[in-house]
Amino acid sequence: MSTQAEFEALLRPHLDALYRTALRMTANEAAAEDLVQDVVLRAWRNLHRFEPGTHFRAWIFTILTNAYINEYRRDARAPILTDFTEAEPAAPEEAPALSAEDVERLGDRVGDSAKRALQKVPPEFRLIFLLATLEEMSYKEIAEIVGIPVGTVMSRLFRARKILRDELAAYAREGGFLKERNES
Amino acid sequence: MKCHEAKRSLDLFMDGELSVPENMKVLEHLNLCRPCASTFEGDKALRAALKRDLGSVRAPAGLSERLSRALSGGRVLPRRGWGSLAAAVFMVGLIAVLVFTPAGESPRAFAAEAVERHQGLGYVCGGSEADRQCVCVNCTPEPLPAMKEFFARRGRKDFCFHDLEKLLGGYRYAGAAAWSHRGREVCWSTHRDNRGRTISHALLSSPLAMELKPVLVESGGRRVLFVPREDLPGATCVFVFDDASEADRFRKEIGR
Repeated sequence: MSTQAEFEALLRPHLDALYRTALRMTANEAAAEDLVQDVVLRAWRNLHRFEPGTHFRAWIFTILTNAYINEYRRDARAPILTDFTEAEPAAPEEAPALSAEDVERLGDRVGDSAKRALQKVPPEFRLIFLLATLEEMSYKEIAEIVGIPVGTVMSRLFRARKILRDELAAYAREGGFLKERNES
Repeated sequence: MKCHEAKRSLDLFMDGELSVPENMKVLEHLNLCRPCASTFEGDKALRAALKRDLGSVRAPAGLSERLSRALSGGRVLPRRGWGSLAAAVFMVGLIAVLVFTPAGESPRAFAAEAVERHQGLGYVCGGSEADRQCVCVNCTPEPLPAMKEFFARRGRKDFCFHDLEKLLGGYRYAGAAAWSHRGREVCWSTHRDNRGRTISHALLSSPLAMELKPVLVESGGRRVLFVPREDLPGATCVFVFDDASEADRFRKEIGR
Protein backbone atom coordinates (compact mmCIF):
# COMPACT_ATOMS: atom_id res chain seq x y z
CA MET A 1 0.00 0.00 0.00
CA SER A 2 1.68 3.15 -1.07
CA THR A 3 -0.64 5.87 -2.23
CA GLN A 4 -1.81 8.76 -0.15
CA ALA A 5 -5.41 7.92 -0.98
CA GLU A 6 -4.99 4.38 0.31
CA PHE A 7 -3.40 5.64 3.50
CA GLU A 8 -6.17 8.18 4.04
CA ALA A 9 -8.78 5.47 3.53
CA LEU A 10 -7.15 3.38 6.25
CA LEU A 11 -6.93 6.39 8.52
CA ARG A 12 -10.39 7.87 8.09
CA PRO A 13 -12.35 5.46 10.34
CA HIS A 14 -10.02 6.26 13.22
CA LEU A 15 -9.68 10.01 12.90
CA ASP A 16 -12.46 10.86 15.35
CA ALA A 17 -11.11 8.44 17.93
CA LEU A 18 -7.59 9.81 17.53
CA TYR A 19 -8.81 13.37 17.96
CA ARG A 20 -11.01 12.47 20.94
CA THR A 21 -8.12 10.79 22.70
CA ALA A 22 -5.72 13.61 21.86
CA LEU A 23 -8.25 16.13 23.15
CA ARG A 24 -8.67 14.45 26.52
CA MET A 25 -4.93 13.99 26.85
CA THR A 26 -4.00 17.58 26.01
CA ALA A 27 -7.19 19.31 27.23
CA ASN A 28 -6.74 21.83 24.44
CA GLU A 29 -8.32 21.78 20.99
CA ALA A 30 -5.41 23.37 19.15
CA ALA A 31 -2.93 21.07 20.87
CA ALA A 32 -5.09 18.07 20.06
CA GLU A 33 -5.15 18.99 16.38
CA ASP A 34 -1.39 19.45 16.36
CA LEU A 35 -0.93 16.11 18.04
CA VAL A 36 -3.17 14.34 15.54
CA GLN A 37 -1.30 16.00 12.69
CA ASP A 38 2.00 14.90 14.20
CA VAL A 39 0.71 11.34 14.49
CA VAL A 40 -0.61 11.20 10.95
CA LEU A 41 2.64 12.49 9.51
CA ARG A 42 4.71 10.04 11.54
CA ALA A 43 2.45 7.23 10.40
CA TRP A 44 2.83 8.30 6.79
CA ARG A 45 6.63 8.43 7.11
CA ASN A 46 6.72 5.01 8.71
CA LEU A 47 4.09 3.35 6.57
CA HIS A 48 6.63 0.85 5.31
CA ARG A 49 6.72 -0.56 8.83
CA PHE A 50 3.03 -1.30 8.85
CA GLU A 51 2.07 -4.76 7.63
CA PRO A 52 -1.08 -4.57 5.54
CA GLY A 53 -3.74 -6.82 6.99
CA THR A 54 -2.63 -6.31 10.57
CA HIS A 55 -4.38 -4.00 13.00
CA PHE A 56 -4.11 -0.47 11.78
CA ARG A 57 -5.91 0.97 14.80
CA ALA A 58 -3.43 -0.53 17.27
CA TRP A 59 -0.56 0.68 15.12
CA ILE A 60 -1.75 4.26 14.79
CA PHE A 61 -2.66 4.50 18.45
CA THR A 62 0.82 3.27 19.37
CA ILE A 63 2.17 6.16 17.35
CA LEU A 64 -0.20 8.50 19.19
CA THR A 65 1.03 7.18 22.55
CA ASN A 66 4.66 7.69 21.62
CA ALA A 67 4.02 11.09 20.07
CA TYR A 68 2.21 12.23 23.19
CA ILE A 69 4.99 11.02 25.47
CA ASN A 70 7.63 12.58 23.26
CA GLU A 71 5.93 15.94 23.24
CA TYR A 72 4.43 16.19 26.70
CA ARG A 73 6.45 13.95 28.94
CA ARG A 74 9.88 14.92 27.73
CA ASP A 75 10.59 16.68 30.97
CA ALA A 76 9.16 14.01 33.22
CA ARG A 77 11.69 12.04 35.14
CA ALA A 78 10.42 8.76 33.76
CA PRO A 79 12.30 7.54 30.66
CA ILE A 80 10.82 8.62 27.41
CA LEU A 81 9.64 5.23 26.26
CA THR A 82 7.43 2.59 27.74
CA ASP A 83 8.38 2.98 31.35
CA PHE A 84 5.29 4.48 32.88
CA THR A 85 5.30 4.50 36.65
CA GLU A 86 3.62 1.47 38.14
CA ALA A 87 0.30 1.89 39.87
CA GLU A 88 0.37 1.17 43.58
CA PRO A 89 -2.36 -1.28 44.51
CA ALA A 90 -5.29 0.89 45.59
CA ALA A 91 -6.71 0.26 49.06
CA PRO A 92 -10.28 -0.86 48.62
CA GLU A 93 -12.42 1.90 50.09
CA GLU A 94 -16.07 1.82 50.73
CA ALA A 95 -16.95 5.24 49.36
CA PRO A 96 -20.60 5.35 48.36
CA ALA A 97 -20.80 4.86 44.64
CA LEU A 98 -23.04 6.88 42.37
CA SER A 99 -26.32 5.14 41.76
CA ALA A 100 -28.10 5.12 38.43
CA GLU A 101 -30.49 7.76 39.76
CA ASP A 102 -27.60 9.98 40.82
CA VAL A 103 -26.19 9.80 37.31
CA GLU A 104 -29.57 10.67 35.87
CA ARG A 105 -29.88 13.66 38.18
CA LEU A 106 -26.45 14.89 37.11
CA GLY A 107 -27.67 14.75 33.53
CA ASP A 108 -25.68 16.99 31.22
CA ARG A 109 -23.29 17.95 33.99
CA VAL A 110 -21.64 14.54 33.81
CA GLY A 111 -19.70 15.57 30.74
CA ASP A 112 -18.20 18.74 32.16
CA SER A 113 -17.44 17.32 35.56
CA ALA A 114 -15.95 14.23 33.96
CA LYS A 115 -13.67 16.38 31.80
CA ARG A 116 -12.42 18.19 34.89
CA ALA A 117 -12.09 14.97 36.85
CA LEU A 118 -10.12 13.38 34.02
CA GLN A 119 -7.48 16.08 34.25
CA LYS A 120 -6.86 14.94 37.80
CA VAL A 121 -6.05 11.47 36.58
CA PRO A 122 -2.32 11.10 35.78
CA PRO A 123 -1.72 10.89 32.00
CA GLU A 124 -0.51 7.28 32.02
CA PHE A 125 -3.72 6.19 33.71
CA ARG A 126 -5.92 8.55 31.77
CA LEU A 127 -4.83 7.22 28.40
CA ILE A 128 -5.75 3.69 29.36
CA PHE A 129 -9.11 4.84 30.68
CA LEU A 130 -9.83 6.65 27.42
CA LEU A 131 -8.93 3.66 25.29
CA ALA A 132 -11.00 1.27 27.42
CA THR A 133 -14.09 3.33 28.20
CA LEU A 134 -14.47 5.75 25.31
CA GLU A 135 -12.95 3.66 22.54
CA GLU A 136 -13.95 0.29 24.03
CA MET A 137 -10.68 -1.39 23.21
CA SER A 138 -9.85 -4.75 24.75
CA TYR A 139 -7.23 -4.97 27.50
CA LYS A 140 -5.07 -6.94 25.10
CA GLU A 141 -5.17 -4.24 22.45
CA ILE A 142 -4.48 -1.52 25.02
CA ALA A 143 -1.56 -3.53 26.38
CA GLU A 144 -0.15 -3.78 22.88
CA ILE A 145 -0.62 -0.08 22.19
CA VAL A 146 0.87 1.21 25.42
CA GLY A 147 3.49 -1.52 25.67
CA ILE A 148 2.63 -2.78 29.14
CA PRO A 149 1.34 -6.11 30.45
CA VAL A 150 -2.41 -6.76 30.59
CA GLY A 151 -2.25 -6.88 34.39
CA THR A 152 -0.90 -3.34 34.41
CA VAL A 153 -3.71 -2.24 32.10
CA MET A 154 -6.19 -3.59 34.61
CA SER A 155 -4.62 -1.98 37.64
CA ARG A 156 -4.28 1.41 35.93
CA LEU A 157 -7.84 1.23 34.71
CA PHE A 158 -8.99 0.44 38.21
CA ARG A 159 -7.10 3.44 39.57
CA ALA A 160 -8.34 5.81 36.87
CA ARG A 161 -11.94 4.76 37.39
CA LYS A 162 -11.62 5.09 41.14
CA ILE A 163 -10.29 8.64 40.86
CA LEU A 164 -13.05 9.49 38.42
CA ARG A 165 -15.80 7.98 40.55
CA ASP A 166 -14.55 9.72 43.68
CA GLU A 167 -14.31 13.07 41.90
CA LEU A 168 -17.75 12.75 40.37
CA ALA A 169 -19.28 11.64 43.67
CA ALA A 170 -17.65 14.59 45.45
CA TYR A 171 -18.95 16.95 42.79
CA ALA A 172 -22.43 15.47 43.02
CA ARG A 173 -22.43 15.72 46.81
CA GLU A 174 -21.24 19.33 46.84
CA GLY A 175 -23.76 20.27 44.21
CA GLY A 176 -26.53 18.73 46.25
CA PHE A 177 -27.40 16.33 43.48
CA LEU A 178 -27.31 13.16 45.47
CA LYS A 179 -30.51 11.65 46.66
CA GLU A 180 -30.75 11.51 50.43
CA ARG A 181 -29.47 8.16 51.59
CA ASN A 182 -31.43 6.47 54.34
CA GLU A 183 -29.28 5.45 57.27
CA SER A 184 -30.61 2.11 58.39
CA MET B 1 -19.66 -15.69 44.34
CA LYS B 2 -19.27 -13.33 47.29
CA CYS B 3 -19.74 -9.56 47.16
CA HIS B 4 -16.07 -8.66 47.29
CA GLU B 5 -15.36 -11.03 44.41
CA ALA B 6 -18.22 -9.59 42.41
CA LYS B 7 -17.00 -6.05 43.05
CA ARG B 8 -13.55 -6.95 41.77
CA SER B 9 -14.99 -8.65 38.71
CA LEU B 10 -17.50 -5.93 37.90
CA ASP B 11 -15.11 -3.83 35.82
CA LEU B 12 -13.91 -6.84 33.87
CA PHE B 13 -17.49 -7.98 33.44
CA MET B 14 -18.53 -4.64 32.00
CA ASP B 15 -15.39 -4.46 29.84
CA GLY B 16 -16.30 -7.82 28.35
CA GLU B 17 -13.09 -9.39 29.57
CA LEU B 18 -14.55 -12.34 31.47
CA SER B 19 -15.08 -15.82 30.15
CA VAL B 20 -18.60 -17.15 29.69
CA PRO B 21 -18.66 -19.16 32.95
CA GLU B 22 -17.24 -16.19 34.83
CA ASN B 23 -19.91 -13.94 33.32
CA MET B 24 -22.57 -16.37 34.51
CA LYS B 25 -21.23 -16.25 38.05
CA VAL B 26 -21.35 -12.46 38.10
CA LEU B 27 -24.86 -12.37 36.66
CA GLU B 28 -26.06 -14.89 39.21
CA HIS B 29 -24.67 -12.77 42.02
CA LEU B 30 -26.22 -9.60 40.63
CA ASN B 31 -29.58 -11.35 40.52
CA LEU B 32 -29.32 -12.23 44.18
CA CYS B 33 -27.58 -9.22 45.68
CA ARG B 34 -29.35 -5.86 45.74
CA PRO B 35 -26.38 -3.66 46.76
CA CYS B 36 -24.14 -5.12 44.06
CA ALA B 37 -26.90 -4.79 41.50
CA SER B 38 -27.25 -1.14 42.47
CA THR B 39 -23.52 -0.58 42.08
CA PHE B 40 -23.70 -2.29 38.70
CA GLU B 41 -26.60 -0.12 37.53
CA GLY B 42 -24.79 3.01 38.68
CA ASP B 43 -21.62 2.06 36.84
CA LYS B 44 -23.56 1.18 33.75
CA ALA B 45 -25.32 4.55 33.81
CA LEU B 46 -22.04 6.37 34.33
CA ARG B 47 -20.36 4.58 31.46
CA ALA B 48 -23.28 5.36 29.19
CA ALA B 49 -23.18 9.02 30.19
CA LEU B 50 -19.43 9.24 29.58
CA LYS B 51 -19.74 7.59 26.20
CA ARG B 52 -22.59 9.91 25.32
CA ASP B 53 -20.83 13.10 26.41
CA LEU B 54 -17.15 12.46 25.85
CA GLY B 55 -17.16 9.50 23.52
CA SER B 56 -19.17 11.13 20.79
CA VAL B 57 -16.77 14.00 20.10
CA ARG B 58 -15.77 14.13 16.47
CA ALA B 59 -12.73 15.57 14.79
CA PRO B 60 -13.27 19.23 13.91
CA ALA B 61 -14.41 20.16 10.43
CA GLY B 62 -11.47 20.84 8.18
CA LEU B 63 -8.99 18.66 10.04
CA SER B 64 -9.26 15.97 7.42
CA GLU B 65 -8.54 18.44 4.61
CA ARG B 66 -5.65 19.98 6.53
CA LEU B 67 -4.15 16.54 7.00
CA SER B 68 -4.53 15.73 3.31
CA ARG B 69 -2.71 18.89 2.42
CA ALA B 70 0.04 18.16 4.89
CA LEU B 71 0.48 14.66 3.48
CA SER B 72 0.72 16.01 -0.07
CA GLY B 73 3.81 17.90 0.96
CA GLY B 74 2.41 21.31 1.76
CA ARG B 75 4.40 23.31 4.26
CA VAL B 76 3.33 22.41 7.75
CA LEU B 77 3.53 25.07 10.39
CA PRO B 78 2.60 24.09 13.91
CA ARG B 79 -0.15 26.15 15.48
CA ARG B 80 1.71 26.43 18.72
CA GLY B 81 5.31 26.13 19.81
CA TRP B 82 6.96 22.75 19.59
CA GLY B 83 9.46 23.35 22.32
CA SER B 84 12.93 22.46 21.25
CA LEU B 85 11.88 21.26 17.77
CA ALA B 86 12.24 23.65 14.88
CA ALA B 87 9.28 24.05 12.50
CA ALA B 88 9.01 20.86 10.45
CA VAL B 89 9.42 21.19 6.69
CA PHE B 90 8.21 18.47 4.40
CA MET B 91 9.72 18.34 0.97
CA VAL B 92 7.43 17.35 -1.85
CA GLY B 93 8.10 13.84 -3.06
CA LEU B 94 10.74 13.15 -0.44
CA ILE B 95 9.35 11.99 2.83
CA ALA B 96 12.13 13.02 5.11
CA VAL B 97 12.24 15.02 8.27
CA LEU B 98 15.25 16.84 9.62
CA VAL B 99 14.95 17.29 13.33
CA PHE B 100 17.62 19.23 15.14
CA THR B 101 17.76 19.01 18.88
CA PRO B 102 20.55 21.41 19.82
CA ALA B 103 19.93 20.78 23.47
CA GLY B 104 20.87 17.10 23.09
CA GLU B 105 24.21 15.52 23.78
CA SER B 106 26.63 15.20 20.87
CA PRO B 107 27.07 11.67 19.51
CA ARG B 108 30.80 12.14 19.49
CA ALA B 109 30.87 12.91 23.19
CA PHE B 110 28.73 9.92 24.02
CA ALA B 111 30.84 7.70 21.77
CA ALA B 112 34.01 8.73 23.58
CA GLU B 113 32.48 7.89 26.93
CA ALA B 114 31.05 4.61 25.72
CA VAL B 115 34.37 3.44 24.30
CA GLU B 116 36.21 4.44 27.44
CA ARG B 117 33.78 2.50 29.57
CA HIS B 118 33.99 -0.51 27.26
CA GLN B 119 37.77 -0.60 27.57
CA GLY B 120 37.49 -0.37 31.29
CA LEU B 121 34.71 -2.89 31.78
CA GLY B 122 35.75 -5.06 34.62
CA TYR B 123 32.50 -6.60 35.61
CA VAL B 124 32.61 -9.36 38.11
CA CYS B 125 30.70 -12.38 36.96
CA GLY B 126 27.77 -13.61 38.99
CA GLY B 127 26.98 -12.20 42.37
CA SER B 128 23.65 -12.11 44.14
CA GLU B 129 20.44 -11.25 42.28
CA ALA B 130 20.24 -7.85 43.88
CA ASP B 131 23.70 -6.53 43.17
CA ARG B 132 25.04 -8.52 40.24
CA GLN B 133 26.85 -6.48 37.64
CA CYS B 134 26.99 -9.08 34.95
CA VAL B 135 24.53 -11.35 33.23
CA CYS B 136 26.61 -13.28 30.77
CA VAL B 137 26.92 -16.70 29.25
CA ASN B 138 29.74 -17.51 31.65
CA CYS B 139 27.94 -16.89 34.88
CA THR B 140 24.23 -17.29 34.10
CA PRO B 141 22.55 -20.50 32.98
CA GLU B 142 19.82 -18.67 31.02
CA PRO B 143 21.41 -15.35 30.18
CA LEU B 144 18.82 -14.03 27.74
CA PRO B 145 15.78 -14.09 30.04
CA ALA B 146 18.00 -13.01 32.91
CA MET B 147 18.95 -9.93 30.89
CA LYS B 148 15.42 -8.52 30.99
CA GLU B 149 15.25 -9.07 34.72
CA PHE B 150 18.63 -7.45 35.15
CA PHE B 151 17.59 -4.30 33.33
CA ALA B 152 14.18 -4.16 34.98
CA ARG B 153 15.82 -4.24 38.36
CA ARG B 154 17.75 -1.17 37.35
CA GLY B 155 14.48 0.56 36.60
CA ARG B 156 14.77 0.32 32.84
CA LYS B 157 12.02 -1.21 30.76
CA ASP B 158 12.90 0.73 27.65
CA PHE B 159 15.86 -1.28 26.43
CA CYS B 160 15.82 -3.16 23.15
CA PHE B 161 17.60 -6.21 21.87
CA HIS B 162 18.72 -7.03 18.34
CA ASP B 163 19.41 -10.61 17.39
CA LEU B 164 22.76 -10.11 15.71
CA GLU B 165 22.96 -13.81 15.12
CA LYS B 166 20.11 -13.48 12.64
CA LEU B 167 21.29 -10.16 11.27
CA LEU B 168 24.98 -10.85 10.66
CA GLY B 169 25.50 -14.52 11.26
CA GLY B 170 28.26 -15.95 13.41
CA TYR B 171 27.44 -13.86 16.46
CA ARG B 172 26.04 -15.13 19.72
CA TYR B 173 24.66 -13.26 22.69
CA ALA B 174 27.41 -13.05 25.27
CA GLY B 175 26.13 -10.93 28.10
CA ALA B 176 24.71 -7.70 29.41
CA ALA B 177 25.92 -4.86 31.58
CA ALA B 178 24.59 -1.52 32.73
CA TRP B 179 26.24 1.69 33.69
CA SER B 180 25.06 5.05 34.81
CA HIS B 181 25.17 7.90 32.31
CA ARG B 182 23.97 11.37 33.30
CA GLY B 183 22.03 9.88 36.15
CA ARG B 184 20.32 7.15 34.18
CA GLU B 185 21.22 3.52 33.66
CA VAL B 186 22.19 2.66 30.10
CA CYS B 187 21.68 -1.03 29.46
CA TRP B 188 24.07 -2.80 27.08
CA SER B 189 23.90 -6.22 25.54
CA THR B 190 26.96 -7.73 23.91
CA HIS B 191 27.33 -10.22 21.09
CA ARG B 192 30.53 -12.07 20.28
CA ASP B 193 31.49 -14.12 17.26
CA ASN B 194 33.78 -17.16 17.13
CA ARG B 195 36.72 -14.93 16.32
CA GLY B 196 36.17 -12.96 19.50
CA ARG B 197 34.90 -9.85 17.77
CA THR B 198 32.27 -8.03 19.82
CA ILE B 199 29.35 -5.78 19.11
CA SER B 200 27.69 -4.03 22.02
CA HIS B 201 24.32 -2.38 21.80
CA ALA B 202 22.21 -0.06 23.93
CA LEU B 203 19.12 2.05 23.50
CA LEU B 204 19.51 5.68 24.45
CA SER B 205 16.22 7.26 25.35
CA SER B 206 17.29 10.88 25.53
CA PRO B 207 17.64 12.70 22.20
CA LEU B 208 21.08 13.34 20.77
CA ALA B 209 22.11 16.39 18.78
CA MET B 210 21.96 14.72 15.42
CA GLU B 211 19.82 14.34 12.34
CA LEU B 212 17.36 11.53 11.85
CA LYS B 213 19.81 9.33 9.96
CA PRO B 214 22.55 6.93 11.08
CA VAL B 215 25.94 8.33 12.05
CA LEU B 216 29.17 6.37 12.35
CA VAL B 217 31.81 7.78 14.67
CA GLU B 218 35.37 6.60 15.25
CA SER B 219 36.63 6.82 18.80
CA GLY B 220 39.49 5.19 20.64
CA GLY B 221 40.02 2.62 17.92
CA ARG B 222 36.41 1.48 17.89
CA ARG B 223 33.47 2.34 15.69
CA VAL B 224 30.29 3.64 17.24
CA LEU B 225 27.13 3.65 15.16
CA PHE B 226 24.11 5.74 16.11
CA VAL B 227 20.80 4.72 14.55
CA PRO B 228 17.87 7.04 15.34
CA ARG B 229 14.65 5.13 15.91
CA GLU B 230 11.86 6.64 13.84
CA ASP B 231 9.37 4.40 15.56
CA LEU B 232 10.50 5.51 19.03
CA PRO B 233 10.66 9.29 18.97
CA GLY B 234 13.77 10.72 20.59
CA ALA B 235 15.42 7.32 21.01
CA THR B 236 18.64 6.15 19.37
CA CYS B 237 20.17 2.70 19.10
CA VAL B 238 23.91 2.75 19.74
CA PHE B 239 26.28 0.01 18.55
CA VAL B 240 29.93 -0.28 19.53
CA PHE B 241 32.13 -2.36 17.22
CA ASP B 242 35.69 -3.39 17.95
CA ASP B 243 36.19 -4.28 14.27
CA ALA B 244 35.81 -1.59 11.60
CA SER B 245 34.88 -3.97 8.78
CA GLU B 246 32.10 -5.46 10.90
CA ALA B 247 30.79 -1.96 11.51
CA ASP B 248 30.61 -1.41 7.76
CA ARG B 249 29.00 -4.78 7.14
CA PHE B 250 26.39 -4.13 9.80
CA ARG B 251 25.61 -0.71 8.46
CA LYS B 252 25.05 -2.14 4.98
CA GLU B 253 22.86 -4.84 6.46
CA ILE B 254 20.51 -2.47 8.26
CA GLY B 255 20.48 -0.12 5.31
CA ARG B 256 18.27 -2.59 3.46
